[in-house]
Amino acid sequence: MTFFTDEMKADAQDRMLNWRTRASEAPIWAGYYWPTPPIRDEEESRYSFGRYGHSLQNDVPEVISIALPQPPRRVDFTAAQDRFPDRSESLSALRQALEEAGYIFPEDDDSIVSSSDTVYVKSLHESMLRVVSPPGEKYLRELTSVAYRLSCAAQALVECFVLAVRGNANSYRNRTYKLIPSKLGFNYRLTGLDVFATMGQWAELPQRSSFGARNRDFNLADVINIWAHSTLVKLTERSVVYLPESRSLNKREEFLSMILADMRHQGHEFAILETEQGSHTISLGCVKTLEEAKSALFAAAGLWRWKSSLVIRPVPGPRVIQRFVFIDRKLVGTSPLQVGNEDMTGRMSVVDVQKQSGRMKEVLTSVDMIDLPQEAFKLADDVMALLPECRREIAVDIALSEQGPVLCAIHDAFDVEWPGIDEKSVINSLGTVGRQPKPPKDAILADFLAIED
Amino acid sequence: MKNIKFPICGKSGSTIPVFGRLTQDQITTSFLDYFNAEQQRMAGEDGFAHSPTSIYHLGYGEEKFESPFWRINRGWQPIEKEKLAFLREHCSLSIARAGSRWITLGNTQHWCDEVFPLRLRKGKETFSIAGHRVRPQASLPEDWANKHWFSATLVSTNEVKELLCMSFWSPTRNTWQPLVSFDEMEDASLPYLTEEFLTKVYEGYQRYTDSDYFFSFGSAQTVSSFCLSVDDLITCAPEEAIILPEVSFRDLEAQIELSNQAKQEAVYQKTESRVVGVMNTEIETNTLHSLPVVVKDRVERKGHVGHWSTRWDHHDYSLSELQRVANQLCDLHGMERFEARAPKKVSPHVARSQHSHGRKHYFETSVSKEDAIAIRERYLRDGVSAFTGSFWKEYNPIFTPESETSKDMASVVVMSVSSLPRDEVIERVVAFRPEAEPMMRQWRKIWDRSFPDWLEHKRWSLEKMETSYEDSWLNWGSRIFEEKGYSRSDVTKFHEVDLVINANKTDLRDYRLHVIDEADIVLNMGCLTPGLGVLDVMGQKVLCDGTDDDGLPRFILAEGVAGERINRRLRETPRYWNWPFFLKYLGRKLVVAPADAGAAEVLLDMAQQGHTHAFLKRAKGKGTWTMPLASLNSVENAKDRLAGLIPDQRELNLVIQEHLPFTHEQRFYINNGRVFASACSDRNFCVLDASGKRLDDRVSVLNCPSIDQGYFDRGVTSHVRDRALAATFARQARRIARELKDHGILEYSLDMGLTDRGPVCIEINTLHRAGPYNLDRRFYMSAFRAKEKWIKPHLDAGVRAEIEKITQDPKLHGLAASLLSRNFENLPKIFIAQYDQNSPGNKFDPPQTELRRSVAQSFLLAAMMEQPVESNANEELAA
Repeated sequence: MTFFTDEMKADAQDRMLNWRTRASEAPIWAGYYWPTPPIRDEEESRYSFGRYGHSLQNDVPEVISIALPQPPRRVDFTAAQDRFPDRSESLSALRQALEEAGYIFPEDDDSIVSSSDTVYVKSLHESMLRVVSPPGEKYLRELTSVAYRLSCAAQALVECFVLAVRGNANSYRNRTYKLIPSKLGFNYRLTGLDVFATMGQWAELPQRSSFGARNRDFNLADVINIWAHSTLVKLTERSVVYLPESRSLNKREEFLSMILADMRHQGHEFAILETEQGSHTISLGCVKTLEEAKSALFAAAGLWRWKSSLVIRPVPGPRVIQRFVFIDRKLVGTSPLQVGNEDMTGRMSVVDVQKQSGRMKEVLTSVDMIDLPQEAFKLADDVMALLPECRREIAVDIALSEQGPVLCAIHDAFDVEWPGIDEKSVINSLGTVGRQPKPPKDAILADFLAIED
Repeated sequence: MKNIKFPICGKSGSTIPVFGRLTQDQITTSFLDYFNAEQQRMAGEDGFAHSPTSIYHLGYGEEKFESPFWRINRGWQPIEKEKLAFLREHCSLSIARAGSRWITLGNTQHWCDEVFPLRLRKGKETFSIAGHRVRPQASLPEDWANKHWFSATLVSTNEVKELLCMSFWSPTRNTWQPLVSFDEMEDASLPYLTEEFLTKVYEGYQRYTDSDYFFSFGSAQTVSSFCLSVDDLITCAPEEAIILPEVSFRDLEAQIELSNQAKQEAVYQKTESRVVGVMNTEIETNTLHSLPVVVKDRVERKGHVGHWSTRWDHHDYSLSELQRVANQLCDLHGMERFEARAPKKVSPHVARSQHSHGRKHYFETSVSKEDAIAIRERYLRDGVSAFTGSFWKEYNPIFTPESETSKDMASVVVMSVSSLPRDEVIERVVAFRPEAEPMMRQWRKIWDRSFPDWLEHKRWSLEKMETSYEDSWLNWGSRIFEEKGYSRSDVTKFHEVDLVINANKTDLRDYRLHVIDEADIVLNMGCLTPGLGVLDVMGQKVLCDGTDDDGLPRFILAEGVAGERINRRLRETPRYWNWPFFLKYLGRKLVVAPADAGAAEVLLDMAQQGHTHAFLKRAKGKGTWTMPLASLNSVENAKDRLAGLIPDQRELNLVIQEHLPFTHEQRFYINNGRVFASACSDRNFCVLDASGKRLDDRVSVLNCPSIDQGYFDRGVTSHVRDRALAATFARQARRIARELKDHGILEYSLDMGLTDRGPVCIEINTLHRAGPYNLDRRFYMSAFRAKEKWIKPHLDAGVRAEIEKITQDPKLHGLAASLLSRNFENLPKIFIAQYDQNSPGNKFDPPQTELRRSVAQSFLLAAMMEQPVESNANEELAA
């Protein structure tokens, strides 16, 4: 198919000749690329359930992983304890368990200067900047949440948890630990699993693949790509453009800048570009030409982050978002998102994207609780039903709009917070869902024996 | 049989038969007819010799899968094989060389002079591909021109099979283009085809390793292929570098001729020069230490000498004869200790280093373990603040002095001209500045006299006319929709259209001023010594050959001039940021970093040290940007901002500077370490506004000295008369020139600007490409005349020193010295001739051998031939 009709061609020629008078006009192709750009191949909208292999989708995983997106430093623990004093005990328990398990804190890790013969100036500074950067609020919250959940699991003697410490910059090996609750109460042990070394073996074993596979792409969050799913995408607002990674346009950035310029022509000041690694806000205010659109894209998402599969969307208005949490595929409750330090009891969260000091930021506020419509519950159930058997613990974010509830995002339940639900009782109940370890295969047996000592 | 122009075969313009849709017999017959005719023609013209292992193969692509040769390649059917044998038997005479040229059936001067192979990895094996830089002159017939064609040149002998070069027909440009790498191909569909083609070639390569011939495989179309013997290939490049007999310098040749007259009866001069040539080739190519060893090695390695003997006079020489004469020569002259040179690269493909000529930047370098530990501890102690000062700090570059060779060649004026004295050009200029009329008419007169049919010249075609910025944008825009053969993606077209519509089309300097500048260059070339001025007129090199009676310069097409010698000077950029002694004159701190590795860290560090803006300059080429540093808080952040500012960052080195806007500017021209003139850098000025004085007291004024963000160009300028400021600028420029002279930097143009910190140097450009503004070119030319005078003793001393290094023989010393004295006046020209000889064609790599050494060897060899030869030796040689 051609994107360049004869009419467009004639108009383009005329505009070139009469550039003095027509340069400021919106081009004839405005509206052609946004909101529904011409998609060449239907087959490109393949669907994916994260990184679970298709053959394994119906196997119930025996472990549940809880992940930290980057290795915690001592300073993070101290800051988190200051920030959340009521969780201080679980934080120190996690810190102690990590220390006992031989975890090396980034500030102690001198591998960058000791392991290789040559130390490059640039990478040394880059890695040291990461080590000493001040702790971020978001990370402290995550760390506290992980510590609390592990403590709960330890107290309830639930054995199916695995802690994965991701984003270790100096090593390609993820640090993964199996939680071993102590019969004595609050404290627990963590035993290191060499996921990397045994990954190949695990891949062959369905019952182990849940975290084996999960760690295969250790740099990426294990998210379900709702935009690439032919049915799930129909449950969303659908005011997005999804570009799969495989999109075979010879110049992706040119195509993207067409979309952005078109959005600008239709009055959008900002566009949000969501990738697997994160989302970027593109400022379209000064975009007049395609070159400027390209510059705006690069300025927001660098030279490569737009190369993976991505979603382009306009800035949405404020929306009430409620999180539906499924444990072992059963709805255990709904929860608002955590808003600052607020007590979310009897509240609901509202997500808005606002301009703050020239940048767009997601702003969370809370409103009084309203009754959730039955459609929202039905939608959550529909979503759960669409997911394969291996996805047991899921949090579904649903926005309440005027048109009715729409799907916003799907997370692994233990990757996100659900302050409206009593975590302790949920984790307690995990001990009773009957997810007992299956007899491991020979190759893994030795590891397990060592773990269980 | 129809006669049409064949794409590659046949000299430009000649017609040869094409074997389309013919029967096998017709094909064979026509092939033979053609070869016989060609053979006779060549034998008559040049003397004809052949290499026994050479095969000539002509194929074409009109008939996909129907070409007899294609089937020969694929099937090896008996009948085809028979035919092949037949063809081989009759066609093996079709390759020869005359002089330094290959006589194949193509425009071979271009083919073989320009060959330079590069290595390509294909699977586990490596083999070489070469491209010729100059396109074959012939063009395709009209009805073929919108298809893709490939041409490959293949080499085959018993031992080696090589793909020598590939080219492809670009239907959009209507030219043949050398295929050096896939990246060069702009059309997305072509690399695939090429790859496929290459794979097939490679398969054939593997498959028929046992045969002594090799034919090309075309995926779809193969235009032609040449099979050359590998010996020819290998010796081709070094033999171009033969020293003495090939130095086409008239005076030197006359000297040799004179000295040879006495022994003309006894010694067969041609034989001798031939042997000397071979010796030199060997010395060039091998690390051997004496002539006998060279000869022995030569004899052992090569079974025959026919392939190189054609170089001089196309007679076969028996090996024993060569050996005997060479031994005689060695004995006679005691050349045992003839020092060997570094081996010359036959394949001079040097991987271009990504950054800064192979020198690593500070940011890419490693630190010692102790330092690394110290840095780590500093971070753990001080936190993020330890970063401050790590990247934006004192810049300590390493200074590399200019090579002796470029200094030796510095008396030549090389300039670029991109317009021609067409009627319409003259009309437009005269309408714009009537006082330019006499100048324009004179230019026209010079051009008409020098090149009577210049309007017919291919490179000077009509479309390459100087036009206004707006016109050139619109011209480009109109071509977006003209598609020949392939189409760009629609999205790309959208972008191009958008660019044309929205581009800033105001002329920063009226294009007619450029034309006046160029007319002025042409007019003033006559001030130079004949042969020492070269112009690159739209890709055609033109040499100033002297002046006519009326004082106007006369030009000739410069065919034998080494393109590299011209192009390198036109393209070079003075890396003044790498001159530590000069940095203080810039008045601002700077650091050089690759855009994709280190620049972001520098910018973040600048932001942390309180800078509000950074000024970025492309280290090579044009481009300056201003970048605001406010709210820069991480390396990632800096990388993104940089990416938004300069999207195309591949292999881009940036000179990152403090933001120091300047309001007034003047340009100074320095040659031989001396300021010889200045000009007011007002963009509206041209030579017609010259003050008549060496130093101008007008300074240009920038209407827009700085911006907050984005691409920066100083834009439209005006000027003001300010004697005091001009004098300050001049004083500082002289001070800089003196200091740079001490470090051997003699030739450049210097921009001085007035800033808040007083007068500073804005930048340094080459003298050849610096815009002249209102510079009076006579000052420019006389500076070069002065340089010529100065450089002669310098060259003389250099050659003498080299001679002493090469040989200890006092007799030879004396002779060479006297020869040198006699040629003192001509030394600059001898150096040029030698340079052209050492580095023919358009090779981008500078000659590997030291120029002075080559010249010294030439003198020595000339002296050797001048020396009276012992009578008995003469008799032997004669026998």
